[in-house]
Amino acid sequence: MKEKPLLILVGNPNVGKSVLFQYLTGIYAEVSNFPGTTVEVTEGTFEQFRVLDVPGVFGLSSDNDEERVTLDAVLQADMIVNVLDGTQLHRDLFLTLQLIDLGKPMILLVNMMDDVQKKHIYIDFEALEKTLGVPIVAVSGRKGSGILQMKHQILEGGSIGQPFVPYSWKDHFFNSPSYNEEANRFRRKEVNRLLSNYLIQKNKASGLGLLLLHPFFGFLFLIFILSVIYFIIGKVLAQEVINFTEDFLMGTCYFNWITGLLNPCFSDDSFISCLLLGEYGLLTMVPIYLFGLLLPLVAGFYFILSLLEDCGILCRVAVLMDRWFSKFGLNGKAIIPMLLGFGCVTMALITTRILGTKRERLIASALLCIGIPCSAQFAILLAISSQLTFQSLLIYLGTVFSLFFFVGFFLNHLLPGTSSELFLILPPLRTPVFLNLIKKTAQKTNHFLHDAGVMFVLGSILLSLLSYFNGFALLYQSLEPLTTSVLGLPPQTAGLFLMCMIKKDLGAAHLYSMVSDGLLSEPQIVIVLTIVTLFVPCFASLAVLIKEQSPLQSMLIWLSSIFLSFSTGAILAQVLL
Amino acid sequence: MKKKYTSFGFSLPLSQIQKNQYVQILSIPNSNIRLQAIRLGMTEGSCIFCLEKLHHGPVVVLIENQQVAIGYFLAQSIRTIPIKASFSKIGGLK
Repeated sequence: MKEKPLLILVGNPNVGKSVLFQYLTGIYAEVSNFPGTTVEVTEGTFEQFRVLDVPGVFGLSSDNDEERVTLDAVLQADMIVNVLDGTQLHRDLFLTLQLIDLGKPMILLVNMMDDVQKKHIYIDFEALEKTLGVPIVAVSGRKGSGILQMKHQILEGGSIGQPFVPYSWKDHFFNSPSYNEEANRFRRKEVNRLLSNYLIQKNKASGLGLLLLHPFFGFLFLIFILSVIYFIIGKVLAQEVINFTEDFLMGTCYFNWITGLLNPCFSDDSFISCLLLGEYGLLTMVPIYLFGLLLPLVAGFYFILSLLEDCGILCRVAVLMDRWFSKFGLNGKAIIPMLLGFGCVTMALITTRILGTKRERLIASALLCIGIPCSAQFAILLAISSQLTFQSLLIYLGTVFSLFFFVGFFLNHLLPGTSSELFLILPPLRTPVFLNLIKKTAQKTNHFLHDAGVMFVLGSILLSLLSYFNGFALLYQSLEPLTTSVLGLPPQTAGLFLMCMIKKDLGAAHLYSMVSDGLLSEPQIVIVLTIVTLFVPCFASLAVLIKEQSPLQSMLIWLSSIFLSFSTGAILAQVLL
Repeated sequence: MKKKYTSFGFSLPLSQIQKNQYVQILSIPNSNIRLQAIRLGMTEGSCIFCLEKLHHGPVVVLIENQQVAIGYFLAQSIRTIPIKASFSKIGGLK
């Protein structure tokens, strides 16, 4: 059978390729309002075509991962669909000229036509089409207009444009950087010349976009956003919603139902009963923690994060934070993996790829593993910390922040080399599409449940085994010098640290129930909270860390986080108890 | 409206320009950044507008209708020359 022809959607970052991909194939590819969302290639089919959605790039070269992936895909394509942002033709046409030089059949989709009209930009499509020799379709992904014409044009096929650079692009490409610069200058001049056909009437950034970058109001706004997040997750979700889902829905209704149903089947002291219905049971602890406690918190957190992403606020935050991150040898872009880390550290470790150098990736990974709690854990930490007095909260936050800064400074001075500088294109502020937010939240939450579910099941089996064969007594006893004497905590906390090692959320969820049961005094809560926040990354994160960094560096990060967390805990115990 | 630029005749690093000022790029020494910048339309000779400047932090400039944030130390290495922009009747941006 003949293989299906390959159609590729290429364009600058953040021009709406993924939305158009969704219209073509019906497959949801992650969409957001910051560049670099599509890190991997998504595949689907449209009529007789195999369709690929590739990472957005500003040009073709083999300088970084995204451009390499895109270049490989483009070289194999049978037809190229180049997506452009109608409000940014000056920038986007540059890539178009590079693509035309490849000599493959092409179609141009000028997206964001709703914005073009709003901004009173006039584009002479006919003249542009004639000069480029490639059919152009104007669409609006958000409004869904022009989609039929787009499909129709794809089925009709594209055409091969007139090459602009007078010499063959491919022959020279991999050999000479100076050639590259020369050809790029040439293309830039051509784009400037071409665009004398089109008029920009207004050349101003929106007022709100500028306010977010303002040295004073920007920070004020940032603090406001953080307080809103704290209020929604720490107060509303963690107290009102969790009370209902964990205590009533899962903890009472579900628990009574499942124990009533299965209790008669097994004798109380059998291993099966302990495994399924015991304190760490597969049918008791796992669903209650996962659905009653973590699901509402995680979904809420992801929704807020998606909202920030889609509005285009995240990139502005990156600019505000640049100066502070430069103290750690990072640039403002590192805020993206850091904030994602509050969602899931495992995922954030992969996103560190957007940082320019190996040095930056190592520093960011170490900071993520040591100082950033992931969503479920963060939400639980927020929930617990909202029960603390202001003084205790200050001690906890102060300790974690100062350690975060210390590790950053230390690594920046210890590691050789320099880091790359901020050069960040800011996407326009947009009103997010509600459906898109819901889809993204659902996708990420689903991913979380899948990922955490496996670890929870494994952890539950291990803990049930320990509990049934009296392993806990042995564990408590052997760790007692550490927990009781050094840290001044009840011996049960040894089990908590074991859970944290398996999956931090599991440990955090257990901590939550320990606090609710009143097993810990306030200073003890502060100590445990600090240790849990700084404690080792979970097994899933460790696996990714080893994949992204070297095994030696990963082990160093892992061991130092154990050392840091316990030594900080010990110091706090000396001061507070 | 076409913008017409008049040079003031002295050069300074991009990090020292002021908010709401037009400057013309004289040189971008970092070759990696130069390649990225060309793609966005920022080359030697092109005119940019400073939208915002954070103290010891990034400079946010407008390059061909696109907002770009440039880190402090990078901005220190880019030489610019302040210009005055005036408007004539017809035509697009340069």
